[in-house]
Amino acid sequence: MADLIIFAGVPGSGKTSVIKNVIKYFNSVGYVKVDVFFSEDEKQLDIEHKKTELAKDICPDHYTAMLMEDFLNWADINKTEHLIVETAGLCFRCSPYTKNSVAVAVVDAIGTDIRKLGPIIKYCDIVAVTKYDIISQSERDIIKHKIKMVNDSVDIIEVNGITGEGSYELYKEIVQLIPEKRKEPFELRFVPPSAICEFCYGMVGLEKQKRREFITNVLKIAKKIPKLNCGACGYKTCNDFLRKVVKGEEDPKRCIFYKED
Amino acid sequence: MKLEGLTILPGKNKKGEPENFDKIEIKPGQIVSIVGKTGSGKSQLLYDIETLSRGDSISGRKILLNGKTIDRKTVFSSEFTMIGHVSQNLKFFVDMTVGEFINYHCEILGKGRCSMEVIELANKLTGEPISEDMRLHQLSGGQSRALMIADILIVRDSPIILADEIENAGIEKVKVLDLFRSRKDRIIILSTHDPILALSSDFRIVIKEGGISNIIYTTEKEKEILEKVKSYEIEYMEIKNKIRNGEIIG
Repeated sequence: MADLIIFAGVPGSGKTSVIKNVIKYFNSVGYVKVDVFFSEDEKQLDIEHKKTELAKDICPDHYTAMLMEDFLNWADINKTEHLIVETAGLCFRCSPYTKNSVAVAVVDAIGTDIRKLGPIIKYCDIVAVTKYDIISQSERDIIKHKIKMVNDSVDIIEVNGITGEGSYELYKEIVQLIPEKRKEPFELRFVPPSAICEFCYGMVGLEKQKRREFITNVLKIAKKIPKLNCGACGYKTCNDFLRKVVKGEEDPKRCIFYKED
Repeated sequence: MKLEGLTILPGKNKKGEPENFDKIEIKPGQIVSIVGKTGSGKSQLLYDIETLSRGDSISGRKILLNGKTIDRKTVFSSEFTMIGHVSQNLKFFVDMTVGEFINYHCEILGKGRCSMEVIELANKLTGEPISEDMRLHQLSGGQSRALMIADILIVRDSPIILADEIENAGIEKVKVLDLFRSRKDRIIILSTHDPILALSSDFRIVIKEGGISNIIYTTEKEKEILEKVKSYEIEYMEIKNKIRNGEIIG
């Protein structure tokens, strides 16, 4: 099976530019870009095996997770040793990394405050900071500090997407991590939140219910269910169970971890 | 960590040809300039030094600190303050006030709050004064650069200072160089197009096509010429200031 490298990060952070530079160092590599409605990013890459997948109505991170095995099979058919998957990076609640992948988050030194990004920083192995060359060293110190506040063990590499500086260091760091990742299972690192609220099911009305109460209730229950997907409640996943509880069709106490206040 | 010296080991130029020197040793107290045309690779050399590259950058150079290779994680951590870099970039992007920013930086580096001291020093270098409650992105190019320099001198207090074309910053370059020299054991490395800064150095590294092509020790004759250039500079600055003040020349 190809060794998997997953890139995440907010739109415009420079993921494709970083990949364009780092991909040159791989002898045998395939590339899959997952986006929502449109993407021409693959055109920037000078490699043979590349493709784009559009998630459309499905959450792009979920879509990526659903098709990850397909992507790996595609890499095997093309006989590439490595596979780079670039995600759309829209929602800060999810993180697309699998346990057996090298997970790289790309963040922009002049963009979003790192502390807003959540699981894509918290669960990655490497943070590649782009556009660092247009800020001062002191501001870079502050950004690194903020990254460490979210993920203390992460490795921070500055990569210039235009000149390619730092991309060789990033390549070396990725390659160094691959052997230990191979031993890990093919599973997501972070349980993605799934459709719990009614808007996720197609609700459009805004005035029909006491929304604040609903949200407070969902969050309160969700907090007490540890998302281990242990199956003890009889449901396949914690989210399946949670949906039933929220609708009032199931007793939260069926979760063995659930405790009343 | 006490600074004993920096060593530059050769890499390759943009064409992939090896650089033609054994090693360059820089000792505490020395000033080194980096000269060459725009785009020749001066900033890359500064970046190699800033990151103490291990042969892993695009140039393939190795930079040793006190004769040793320093691992990447150490260099890239925000606690590593041996090297201060006054880059060419004049803007701040983070949305904070000057005071908040400097004090945050002090906190990260485990120092007491020193924003007032930093601002006071920065104001010695710039025309319009900076105040603590100004937002960072309100600062002009010269003010930003002055603040960066003061931050490096006081908060970071690095024994090695790298400065990228400080002559372009709208601040007084000679004053800045004197401030850098205030610590006698400091290594100062200047990328520059300015004859005064270049000739004030102990030696200059010449860059061509991405590679170090020559190392020139400042000659006695050049030191004499430096004095002449400085007198031109005084005359030039007088004219410049008159224009700035709205006066007529001659």
